[in-house]
Amino acid sequence: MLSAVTSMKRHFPFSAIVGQQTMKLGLILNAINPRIGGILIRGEKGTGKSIAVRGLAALLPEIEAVEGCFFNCDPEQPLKYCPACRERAAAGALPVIKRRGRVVELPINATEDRVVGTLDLERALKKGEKRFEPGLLARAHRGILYVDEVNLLDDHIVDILLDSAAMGTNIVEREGVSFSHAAEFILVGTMNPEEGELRPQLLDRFGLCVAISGIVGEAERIEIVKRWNDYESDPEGFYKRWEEEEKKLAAKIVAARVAVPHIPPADETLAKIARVALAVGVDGHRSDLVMMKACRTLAAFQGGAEVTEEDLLASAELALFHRVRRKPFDEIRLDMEIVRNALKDRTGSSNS
Amino acid sequence: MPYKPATGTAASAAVSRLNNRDYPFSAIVGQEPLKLALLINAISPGVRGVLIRGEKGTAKSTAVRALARLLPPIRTVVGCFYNCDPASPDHLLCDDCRERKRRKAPLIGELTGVPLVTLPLNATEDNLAGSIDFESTIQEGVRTFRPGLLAKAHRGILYVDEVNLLDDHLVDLLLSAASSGINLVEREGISNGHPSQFVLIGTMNPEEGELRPQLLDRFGLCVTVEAVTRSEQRVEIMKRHQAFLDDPEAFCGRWHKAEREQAQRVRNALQKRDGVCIAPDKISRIIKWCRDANAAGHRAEIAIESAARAIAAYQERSEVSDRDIDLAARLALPHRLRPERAQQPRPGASGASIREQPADLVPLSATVRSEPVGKPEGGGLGEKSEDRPDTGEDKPRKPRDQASGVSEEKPAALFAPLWPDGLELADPSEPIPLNIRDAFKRRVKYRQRSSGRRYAAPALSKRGRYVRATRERRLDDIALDATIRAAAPFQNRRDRSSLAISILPEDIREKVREQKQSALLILVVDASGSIGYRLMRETKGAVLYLLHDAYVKRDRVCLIAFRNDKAEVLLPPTSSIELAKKKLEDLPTGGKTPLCAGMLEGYNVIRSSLIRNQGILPLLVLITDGRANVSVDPDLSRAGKNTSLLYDELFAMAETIRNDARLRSIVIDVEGSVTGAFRMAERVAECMGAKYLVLDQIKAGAIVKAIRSEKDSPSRPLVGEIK
Repeated sequence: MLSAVTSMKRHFPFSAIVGQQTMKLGLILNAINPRIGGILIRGEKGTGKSIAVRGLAALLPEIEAVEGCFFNCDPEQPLKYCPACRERAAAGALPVIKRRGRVVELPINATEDRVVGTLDLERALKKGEKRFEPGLLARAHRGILYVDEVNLLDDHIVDILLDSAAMGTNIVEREGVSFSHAAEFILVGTMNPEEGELRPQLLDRFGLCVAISGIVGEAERIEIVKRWNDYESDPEGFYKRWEEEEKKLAAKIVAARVAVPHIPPADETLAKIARVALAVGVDGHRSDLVMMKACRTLAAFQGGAEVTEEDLLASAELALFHRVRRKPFDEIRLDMEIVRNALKDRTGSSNS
Repeated sequence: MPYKPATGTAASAAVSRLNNRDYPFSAIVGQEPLKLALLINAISPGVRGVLIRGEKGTAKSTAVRALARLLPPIRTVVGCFYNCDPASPDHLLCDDCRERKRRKAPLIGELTGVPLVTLPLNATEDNLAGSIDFESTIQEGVRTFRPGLLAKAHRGILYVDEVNLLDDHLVDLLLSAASSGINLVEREGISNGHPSQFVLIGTMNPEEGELRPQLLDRFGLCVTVEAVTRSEQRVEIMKRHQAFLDDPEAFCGRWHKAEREQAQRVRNALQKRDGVCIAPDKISRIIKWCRDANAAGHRAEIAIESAARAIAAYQERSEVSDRDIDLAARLALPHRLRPERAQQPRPGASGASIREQPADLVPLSATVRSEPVGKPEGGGLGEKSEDRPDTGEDKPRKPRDQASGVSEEKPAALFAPLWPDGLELADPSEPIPLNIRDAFKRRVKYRQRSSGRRYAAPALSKRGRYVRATRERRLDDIALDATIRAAAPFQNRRDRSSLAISILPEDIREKVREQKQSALLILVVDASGSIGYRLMRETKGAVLYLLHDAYVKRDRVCLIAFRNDKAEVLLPPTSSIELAKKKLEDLPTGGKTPLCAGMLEGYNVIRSSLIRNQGILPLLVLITDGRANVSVDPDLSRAGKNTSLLYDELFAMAETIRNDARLRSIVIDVEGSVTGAFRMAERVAECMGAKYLVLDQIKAGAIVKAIRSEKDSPSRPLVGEIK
């Protein structure tokens, strides 16, 4: 009964996307370390936002999941089992399969019952039983929840997303059903700022944020048209040509995932992060936590043994952009000069 | 009628008993006021909850969830769905337990954890209050009541994240249960009443809008949390967060001792609480606090008293001290302040300290950044909470200039000059200022609405949040759950051939949906030469002010400017307030005044928006000096300055706007009471049936009052100057 989540057509390979390095980096960091908490891609139409997100699905590392479980339960986390898995676990060992994390797309006209789940009507009418029918949030558990044009989403749907993203749990108390299940997903959103801004509350929920614009270099533009043409005329053939690149990148992501825990969060790095956050002026602590995870992940991705100044700078840009404290309807702007100065400045600890 | 509480595996799922892998309470860095407020509630549930206001990412939710683990278990009747206490008198028991007791059956008690029930924002009414359980009703032919969240939360904590976003009707239910302590259900052939006493804990981000005053007053305490600004503490937060993520169990293990000590202290305080005495002079201190704060009603006094007792008990003293009261007052008063009287301390009211304290609190609340309790600047990082009350005395008196320097960037503070009355959010008799949406609320409360430009015909739209069901048939938007519940009691008498349920037409229920109202603010701005530089600046100020409101309420705006010979739509209806501000900044000015063209353009935008979406609520705001000198008709303009024809046209236009009942309008006169003014704008306003305001008064906060009074007036507002 669920909407078709993945189309049959071969997606445009992620590694074949021309330019847009920051966006690609942000997505890759999330694929390596889901705890970074998603990414918001802001930019004009036709800049490859959606293509990149869909392409990322093929690069997500495999996860272990309970076979046949709709909620994608993690066999390692018995406390978070869904009721069905709990019952099955009590009866014996759960069958485990490996599968890629899913990319679940949330269409902006989705209704609330489809998003959070609802009363299983068939069951109710045929058998008179009350059963919960899971929605998109259940499906997105341990995967990516992708919202195209997230700024156009209905307010009440946004509220739900906020709630579940914050708690990692989807609590349903509606239509006579009481149910709660784990819903830990990477929230990936795209938006065109001209169509209206996101509420700051939701903005903050996205771990990273990039602003992208169309590529201006002529050679690159020609390359984009060429590749797109090739892809359109023969998706499979095009994929074959990029398969190796894709595999390399996927392997790099898997390797980085293993390496992240071994990158030490050095005291000095943490102090720098705090200094940057204070200098730039952000709300709350989420920025610090995200920056810490992002810079370690970045260091791991680049095969380094520890976090470098460049890693810090790049992760500051990704993590702070949308969190800079600003006057109500000022444009979002991050002054990288302040970040650089704060990184250099070793004496002053804060400016508040 | 034998009601049987339903059983169900899912029913217990919402009662999230915390496992041992949640972030420990004692490991939270800083946020001492928050922790104190939560502990007070744990010790003395009579305080009745806490509202946590604060910016994003400040451990609000983490702290609440961690709190439940500190509470000592309670004794409940085995098999009771309402967490009844076997020791409580008859009138506090649920029907079931009372019946059992009457039959002389023993009520067996068991120790269970204090329930922490989360109320999700999208809950439906039947799940909050409880309703018929169709499953067992159908299968067993007995009407069965299925307890809702209010039952599960009895004797526990009801937690609402983002409480300011909660739908109004859920708030109503909450309020009635909170005030009576009983949840009465009369629906779907079920009649049930059960005790429901809970500690209400809510979090909110003020950027998302304010809370209804009645609900605000229900929260015993209110704390504002903000990010820690010392970098060592920020580093510590990162370290602990990472350590927790890496290995939650090991992390909790390391904090186990601290948690156990903390829990033990709460337990000791709970036992000690009722023995704490409070001297008569202390009571008068409480009353002075409340009087100086001009708090409405008496809840403030009660909250301060119980909180002060809790603090004393927590510190293992048997008598309430002045300091306990001051601390409690700082937690209990911020959301109840009414600034009018508090801003002028009455001479000789009390001792010096009392007099200056409200003055300390008022500006804090005006910038929505109150810091009622000391920040843990004195202590180390792992500071134990017991040190805190002692540091409370000197820390809150942070120099004002320092605090306001920080809050300069805050939305509320930014508009403070335009908002000199301060926030009146503590006054239950008055709504939150400048609530444009409220002006329309009564007319459209439960109307089915569409949600935006993408959905043109509201009759076809079944969008919005499903909040409850109705018998009324309107849209074929069938609420199957409610329909099944309605049909359930009759199933044993009906012919059910192959299906489990037979549904007859009279069972059918439809969904009632509610959607946040989207108002469309049409700002028609006079950019002609007669406005002049100074007035233009003020005009922009007024528009910015309106934009700020639109931003909070998520309304859409449209910006039209008129000058020289035509009006121009600078910004078609959009929700991007940022864009509106940018357009406003680059507004070209100078030239003649085609006032009528501006009005016409604004009216056209409204008309076309209404065609596309009948659900919007248009408000036309005309900002001008009224000195029209260009006609819409080019022939008329060329014919020279025929003033009377020009005005005929103007008033005809105004008349058209007046006759369109779908829109409301406000005229802001930028010229105002300047000597020699024509007061043309006032005449136009009169003709439009618009609210008339003079720009000078906007600075005095009149716009707030104007729109507020528009809400109160049953029909179209009368024309008149607002004092």
